[in-house]
Amino acid sequence: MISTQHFSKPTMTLGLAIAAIVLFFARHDLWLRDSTSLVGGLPVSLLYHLAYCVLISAVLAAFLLRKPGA
Amino acid sequence: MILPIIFAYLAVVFAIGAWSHRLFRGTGEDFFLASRTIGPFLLLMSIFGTHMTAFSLLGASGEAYHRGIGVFALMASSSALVVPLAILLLAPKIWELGQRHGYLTQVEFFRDRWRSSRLGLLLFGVMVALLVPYLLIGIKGGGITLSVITGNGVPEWVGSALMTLVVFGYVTVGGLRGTAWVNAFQTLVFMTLGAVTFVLITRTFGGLGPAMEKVARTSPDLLAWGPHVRPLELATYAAIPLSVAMFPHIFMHWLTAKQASSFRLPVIAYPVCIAIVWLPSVVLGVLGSIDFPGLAGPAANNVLVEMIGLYAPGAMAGLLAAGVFAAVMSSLDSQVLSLSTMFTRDVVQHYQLLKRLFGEQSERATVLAGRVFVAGILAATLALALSVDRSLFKLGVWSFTGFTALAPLIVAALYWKRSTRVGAYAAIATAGVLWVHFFRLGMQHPGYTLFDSGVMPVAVILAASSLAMVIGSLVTEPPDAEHLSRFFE
Repeated sequence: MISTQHFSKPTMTLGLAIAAIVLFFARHDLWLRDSTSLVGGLPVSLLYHLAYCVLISAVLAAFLLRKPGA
Repeated sequence: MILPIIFAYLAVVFAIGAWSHRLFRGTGEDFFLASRTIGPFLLLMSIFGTHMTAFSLLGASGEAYHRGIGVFALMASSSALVVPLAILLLAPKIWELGQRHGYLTQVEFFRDRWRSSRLGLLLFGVMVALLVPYLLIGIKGGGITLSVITGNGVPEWVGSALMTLVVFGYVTVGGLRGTAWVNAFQTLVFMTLGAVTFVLITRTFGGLGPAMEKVARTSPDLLAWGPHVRPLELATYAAIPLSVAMFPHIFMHWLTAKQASSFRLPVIAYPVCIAIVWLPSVVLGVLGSIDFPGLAGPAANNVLVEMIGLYAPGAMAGLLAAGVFAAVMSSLDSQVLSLSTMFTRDVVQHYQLLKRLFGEQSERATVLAGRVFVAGILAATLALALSVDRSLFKLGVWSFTGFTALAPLIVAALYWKRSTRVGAYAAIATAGVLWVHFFRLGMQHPGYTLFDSGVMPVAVILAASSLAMVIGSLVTEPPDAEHLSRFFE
């Protein structure tokens, strides 16, 4: 079961909590708020948020695909 | 050519729902929860398809038309973070308790957890009231799509009614298995056709880069979030996707999982799926400002379909419009099924309503009562959809705000042994009073935020209802240990 198998160790729970907090703050790209420049055809802030979504998936995969106890 | 394609699509959807009936095992648990046999991929597609609705396509593009790319940061990025975490922390526990105690609905769980029938009845009423604006978004979205794509050849109410009838039909025949299969199909359809629409339209501009450069010359403010979104608004919008924790139709999908590990794929893939759906919606909404300048308020709900009509050839327009229908129907079906299940289980069966009224209560009459109830709610919502002329995005945000305000209930029920029914009542009452207060302010002052600071009402209501849950629980007797052992290992 993912809730107990992967988060039975307090360090894993703590790790996920820290990751969630960091990701929450990373969502606020204040430094790009007024930038209208285009990168790869997309507004730079939109590109940042696309990458942000992919990053969240990667972080969650790192937690959930890790073998319990590893 | 457009109408035959849409009719053919609706026929295929109905056929999938009806075909799934062949696997029906003849039990209530099979009809309502597909005998808890849904694996990871189908679970991802059904949960994601249920969650994405006209809000994510028509609403998002309409809002992006006015506010630019910041709409992606407001809703898509926050959903990409909050929704998978909510699934991870809540769904496996709900699934496990559902297996152990045989729950079919959210109300059953809360009623059992806090041993209160009245609390269950109150929650049923609140859930129905909050689902109506959510249903309205879908029903209105379907009507808008068919009307605009046919150049107003089909009145909005006909499109809304047609879609509602198809959904009601296949849900009634196929139950949750049919809904899950149709959802999976429709989710693939709208994700694929969303990408096709995106490529087709940007190509007519000479590619994505030239399209955006054109926007940079006409409306550069739409290419950054700063001009239209305040930092505190961005921060507090993150509370809105927490609504997923309390959606009764998503709760039912959680119960259908084959095993707890089935949630792993939905959790991991959710953020990427969100990006795949929201990117075309937001970019096409922004591009709409070039071809359809000057759309005021809710008129921008149509912008995505107008773009499809303008840039896609006839048959393709029908196909892409079917994609919008797919997104709308994949939510509407689960909402309809959850309403029917809640009414049947939590009102008619729990209170032996038919026996009290008519002296007897057969299984057939119970099911019929559920269908009549849903038909009544859908008819009322359809009538409401024709008279309400609001931004789909804003309607969605108010509905989600209400669900988010109730999220402390599910968190406390699963993680806080000391929580009591009085705490739950206090949280619901606080959420209700504040929601009505802020909703009135929001209607009087569009774009209302707390003291004009950017803080969304949802953050205040969530904080207040959480506090009410804690205070209400602490001032009352703690629950007994034997009862708690049913829910906590």
